[in-house]
Amino acid sequence: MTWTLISGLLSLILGAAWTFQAYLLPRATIGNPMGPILYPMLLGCGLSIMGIILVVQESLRLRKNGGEGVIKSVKLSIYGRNIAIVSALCVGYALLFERAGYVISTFLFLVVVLLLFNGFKRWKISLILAGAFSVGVYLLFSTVLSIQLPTIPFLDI
Amino acid sequence: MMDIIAHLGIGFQVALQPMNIMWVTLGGVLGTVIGMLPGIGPATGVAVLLPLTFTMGPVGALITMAGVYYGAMFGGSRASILINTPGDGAAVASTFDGYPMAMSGRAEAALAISAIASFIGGMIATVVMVVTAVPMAHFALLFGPAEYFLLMVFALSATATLSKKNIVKGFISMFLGLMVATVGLDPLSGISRFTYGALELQTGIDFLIIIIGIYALGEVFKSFRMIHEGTRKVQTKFGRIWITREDWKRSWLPILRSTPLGFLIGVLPGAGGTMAALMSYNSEKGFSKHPEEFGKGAIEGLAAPEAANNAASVGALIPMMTLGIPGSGTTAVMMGALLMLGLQPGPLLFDKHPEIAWGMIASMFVGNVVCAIINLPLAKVLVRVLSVPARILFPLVLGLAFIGTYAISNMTSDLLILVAFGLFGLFLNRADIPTTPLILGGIVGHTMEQSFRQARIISHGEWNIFWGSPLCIVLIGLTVATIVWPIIQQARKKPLLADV
Repeated sequence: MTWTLISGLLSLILGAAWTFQAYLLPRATIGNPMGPILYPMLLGCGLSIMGIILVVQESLRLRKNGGEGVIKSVKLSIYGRNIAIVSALCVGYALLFERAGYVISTFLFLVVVLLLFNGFKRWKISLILAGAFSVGVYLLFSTVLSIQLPTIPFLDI
Repeated sequence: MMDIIAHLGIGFQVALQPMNIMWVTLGGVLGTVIGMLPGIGPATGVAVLLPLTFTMGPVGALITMAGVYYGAMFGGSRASILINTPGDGAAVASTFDGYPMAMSGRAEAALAISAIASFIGGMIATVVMVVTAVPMAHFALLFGPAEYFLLMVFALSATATLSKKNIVKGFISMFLGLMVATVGLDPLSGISRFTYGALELQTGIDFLIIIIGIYALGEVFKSFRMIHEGTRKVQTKFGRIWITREDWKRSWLPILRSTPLGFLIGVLPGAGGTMAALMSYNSEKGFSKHPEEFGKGAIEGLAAPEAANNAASVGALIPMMTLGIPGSGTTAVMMGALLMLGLQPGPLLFDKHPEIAWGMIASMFVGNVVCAIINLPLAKVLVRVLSVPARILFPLVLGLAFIGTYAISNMTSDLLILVAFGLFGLFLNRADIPTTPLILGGIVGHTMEQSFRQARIISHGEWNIFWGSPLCIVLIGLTVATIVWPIIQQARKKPLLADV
């Protein structure tokens, strides 16, 4: 299995599903009944065809070059692990965003991410940066740009 | 001729208002800094700065975003010259001779010529834009829905085929973008499509959030590999940043030759600053009497791509402004922002809102001067930014991406969509699928579908309207050529643009 093969197969499946779902849409009551349906169906077919071409192309290449580019293990590298952690933190941040208010949620998120990358030895700079960023952005948005961000609960600032 | 002067007069009245001078300066400074920082290019820069533009109004927003765009072309080369890492793709060619120059103790001359070449390239290109914009917009008014649809097909397929070597992947990306654009209430029939009962999807998926997800989050995820690289040593002590008479003698002709080349490549959909810079580098090497000096610190090898990428960034604005079809990632983001501010770029922009269109064009003259000042006398201060390590920078970009998204929609559910598209951007990167066609497809998808259906309504459902006029046939021919040519090139084992 290679990334290219996966994306080819996914395109094929998604394209076919899209075409089918478009076909199931209710017919338009004004004008051409197929009006809103034809165009998305064409797109779905196009994607499927591209998926098929990609799968064929990649299979031929694999046969010729042997197993070049094949994904060997599904184990996460350190790089992959970092991305997974940061994505999880991003989700947590998104969930806290309105509940804890902008300043607190942003401060927490940035402190954790900065510590993760900078190590605990540099904790001072991480704290200062996170604090300055969260408060600074909040003030910039609420005063200069007049965009209201979620406030800190209870204190309402 | 008189019209042009009158138009420019209107433009300068707008551009020289103190507020707008401030915006163009802000855009230029931010663009220069963003361009310098490896891992953050102009598209990411404009994407994370979107919330700032909401309060500016269309003119201010357009001026600032354009400033970021060409400012990044100025800034990109600073990193190429000093640390051999291009600040963005368009500055790759500047490492070839810029870094050897810095290594041999000529960093000052390298910084100076790149700023001078960028300035001249940008200025000449802006003059060409002044002359060509209105004729181009008027030409576009001749287009009926069928022609307009085919024009978009051409622009998208050019983007899909030119951006990466595997054109099938380019098309997959394009179809995905177009499909996303069909989600939501269909304006012609009132049928809601692909919403599956979710009210949030009735108005469609906000494409700006996808852009921020892919360009800001995705790019940061992608660059995680370099996050543990230590602080780079950056030269911070410089002599006078200027060039000698001899340097100028060698550079002026390459600059003048590369500018039109860069401009034309910029106007073409799909081909951007990177391609312009590489092509002008190669063509200068061909022109040179001493091609063996290229790659070892030849000053013309730095001057040419610098002039070309600035000219390309100006050229890329033309199809976006006059046709409403962006030809690059950054202009697509700009167009997304303008649509959000209620402004439809396209042929009518110059008639309906001359102050906006011409205000932006005039501001580019001001902006080029501002960028030249930032990059010549102030270069010594600004290059210190290069010593900010990625491990500090990237968390802050993440923070900016979240605030940008929230400012657009005020919904926390969109923050989750943001993360999802960040990961999707990473997947596309892993699978080597280009993202630009997706962004472009998402931005023009809506108009494209409307044109397609209007054409079919006009022709009472007959398909021959799509090849019924000479213009249609020309556009079909161009589209076929953009698809067939790379295939022929691939078959001949000579990739059109290796390493782009």
